[in-house]
Parts: sequence; structure tokens; C-alpha cells
Amino acid sequence: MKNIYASIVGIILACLTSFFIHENSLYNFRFHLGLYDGEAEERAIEDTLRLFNRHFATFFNTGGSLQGLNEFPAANLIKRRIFQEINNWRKNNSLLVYDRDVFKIEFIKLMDPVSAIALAKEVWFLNVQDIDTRRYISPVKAAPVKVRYFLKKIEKKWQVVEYEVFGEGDEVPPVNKGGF
Amino acid sequence: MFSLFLYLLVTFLSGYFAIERIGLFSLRPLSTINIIHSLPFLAGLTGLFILVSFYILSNNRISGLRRWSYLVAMSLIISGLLVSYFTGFYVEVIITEGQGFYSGHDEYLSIYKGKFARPPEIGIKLEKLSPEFSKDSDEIKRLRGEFLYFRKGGGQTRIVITNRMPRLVNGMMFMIKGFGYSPRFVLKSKGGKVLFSSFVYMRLFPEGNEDFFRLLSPHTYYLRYYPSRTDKPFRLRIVRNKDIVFNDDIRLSEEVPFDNGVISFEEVRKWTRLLIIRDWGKIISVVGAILILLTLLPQKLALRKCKFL
Repeated sequence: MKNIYASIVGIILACLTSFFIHENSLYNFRFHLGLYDGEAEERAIEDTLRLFNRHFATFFNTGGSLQGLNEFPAANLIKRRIFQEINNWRKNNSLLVYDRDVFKIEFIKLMDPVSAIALAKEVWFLNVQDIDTRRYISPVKAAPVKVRYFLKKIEKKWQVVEYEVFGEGDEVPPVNKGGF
Repeated sequence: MFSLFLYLLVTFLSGYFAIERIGLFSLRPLSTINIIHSLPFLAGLTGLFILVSFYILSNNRISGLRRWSYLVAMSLIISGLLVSYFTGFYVEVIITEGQGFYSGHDEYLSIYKGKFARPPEIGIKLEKLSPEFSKDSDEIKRLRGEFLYFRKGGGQTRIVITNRMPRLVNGMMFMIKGFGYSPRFVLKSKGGKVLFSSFVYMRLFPEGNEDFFRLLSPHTYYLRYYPSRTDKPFRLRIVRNKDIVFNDDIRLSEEVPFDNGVISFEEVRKWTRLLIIRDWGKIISVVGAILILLTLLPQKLALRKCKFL
């Protein structure tokens, strides 16, 4: 009987050790057991994606205004790619205007307590304009795309760390292991 | 008293291992090597060693030879784990056919490097990779890599490593795992000047898998590779932020004009993950484990004999 008690103490000690050596262990534990508010997380992710797309379009449409850059929920490499393109257009005295028409989330999947994947159907109207006069340089092009977002929770806030763009008719392949 | 602590420590070690392997309190499950090298596990094991040592030293029923064998074996296991913790060296590199790997010069993804580990000098080149696919071509049944190993004093040795059989060379273990394709792209300016050309390793296996790469521009190049197709084996999609500028099947060496450049894929080679392990501690621990088995075995056999009699 004493040996059984000793074994129970051993397992409790193992649990406590593991609990105290990991950050956010209670949240991780609840997540693995499914005892978390999944709907609230999904709402937070959806809000993040809406904010991401709003700022994304605004950066392009204003020719690279930095307003809202701090609130833009994206990794630095994404910001860099966006502003790199905006600057390319600016060199030609033009800008690419993104006008969002449709944004519909197909699914959100939480991979672990701090990682999630979301697939969205989006339709954008794109056209190139003169930066000063806003004269249309190209015709308006409809761009229906499927976007797979990879999100990470950093300091309790969701952030887009990567996104993949697929054509409307493209089959979305399984997630490649390097996604995050 | 001894059995109480023995039960406590054994359940602690096995419980801790299981909890970390499942990842109950962590973000995701930890690998076996990370658990074994973690401080709680090493502390628990050291406690177990001390406990067993005290028991053996104070127990007169155990013969002198066996007593010392236990102690030596346990010391070997514990010191082996400590040596492994401080000097173990585990690296993983992606290597494409024709590509060489030189430690100290190349960047590699280090899986584990002990505090006092000094990277060994390694020069190795993958000459040929021969995969054997399953019937549906979705899995690798066998992978055979032919390598050239450059010796420290000069000269080279041809070695073969398969995914089933690791190879021991100069106290290091070489293993291969995983498979994929590395296409060579050529990026040209609109005027035809070559701007950049390189092999890029991609996770394009099995057929239909998609991967992407980026260069310095804001473009993302998404690629799928279908080796079974003879005409147009690639599916290429070029995206500038959220604007798809090209999306179609292409042939080998077909030049694809987009924005201000032209891209083509000239050849495809194969890649694998090469794992190099130098861990003397592991060998010491294995010797300790064998010694424990050897000292335990005669006792077990003797017990069985008694039962039969």
C-alpha cells in the first residue's frame, strides 16, 4: 500500500514539475483537454484578419502611409513585402489600389494554444492609379482569391505570420510542415 | 524505505517522460532527446543512482562482484547522460544531389549542441540519391544516398547511407531522413540578363504537394512538381502580395515572363535530410546498460532454474 502511495506522489511530483517549468501551462493544459473558449479565440482571429485586410488595403491605397502600422497585426516580413511593393509603384509615380469586395472565412483551425490556420475567400478589385491625379493607369481587375493565413498568438494578441494566396479554382494543398 | 523512494523516483521519471512526450502542459510534445536532456529528468536519474548506490553498498546479500558491477554500470549510465548533455552534438542539414556540406563553413540547423560541444570537422558531399517509392508513389519505401566523405588528412571515401541503416564514420553517426525535390530556377531581367540562379530545396513530395520560395522582390513563387507528367511537370503560381500575376502549368526550361522579370526551371535534383550525431555520452550509457543486463541476467536465469527444479 505504501508503495502505491509513493507511486502516486511520484506522478504528482512529475505533474507539478512539468506544470512549473512551462510558460502558460494552465492555458496549454486546458487547450489540450478542450477546456477553453474556442469561439472566443475564433472571434479574435476573425477580428485580427479583418483588421489585417483593412490596413493592408489602406497602406496600398494611400501610397504607403505609415498610419496604423503599429496596429497592423502582421509579422515584420509581411510588412516589409507590402512596403517594398508600394515603394516600387511609387518609383513609377503610381500606386496599386486594393478595393475589397468579399471577405468570407471558410474555416479557422487552432493548431496548438498559440498557432492557428484560417482559410478565407476574398475578392479584390485592383487597379493602378497615378499617385498625384488618381487617374486610372490600368483597367480595374477583379481578383478572386483564396488566402490561407497562418497566425501566431504573441503577447496575447493574434498576428498573421504568413499567408498563402491561391487562385479561385486552385485546390488548396495540405499544409506544408514549414508553414509556421 | 528503499522501495518507497524507488517507487517514487521511478514513477516520477516515467510520469515526467510521459507528460512531456504528450505535451500536457507545454505548447507541443517534446522530443525524446529534449526530455532526456532536461534538468528534472537528469536530476531524477541522479537521485535514482544515489539511492540504488546506497542500497547496494549497504546490502550484504549482494555479492561483491555484482555490487561493483551495478555501481559501475549505473555510474556509466549517469556519466554518459551528463557527457551527452554537455558535449552531445546533433545536427541536421538539408543536402541536395551534387551539394557538399562542410561544418564550420556552412550554416546548419543545429538540433542539439551541448554547452561544451565543439563542432566536429566534417566534409561530405551527396553524389546520388536513389528513392524507392511505394505502389501509389506517395511514400518512400527505401532511400539510398551515395556520399563522398572527405577525410581530415586528405583523400576521400565513398560511403552509402540508407534510411534504414545509419553509418558510423570517425565516431560520428550519419543518417538520412526525408525526401524532396530541389528545382533550379533561373531569374532573368526582361532584357535576358541572368539575375539569379540557384537550386532551392522544396517540400514537393509526394506529387501535388506545394511549396514556395521568395527572392528579394515582393513576389512569392508557389510550385508543384509532377515527375510523372512528361509534358508540363510544373505548376507555377507567382503572387505579388495578394495579386496573382501568373498561374499555369509549365514545361522544364519554359521561360515565364512576369512583371519585370522572366523565370524558368532548368533542372530538378533530389534532396534529403542528413543527420550527423556525435555523442560519446550515448555510447557510455549504452555500455552501462549492457553491463546492467549482464549482471542481472545470471540472477534471472538462476531464479528460473530454481523454479523449474
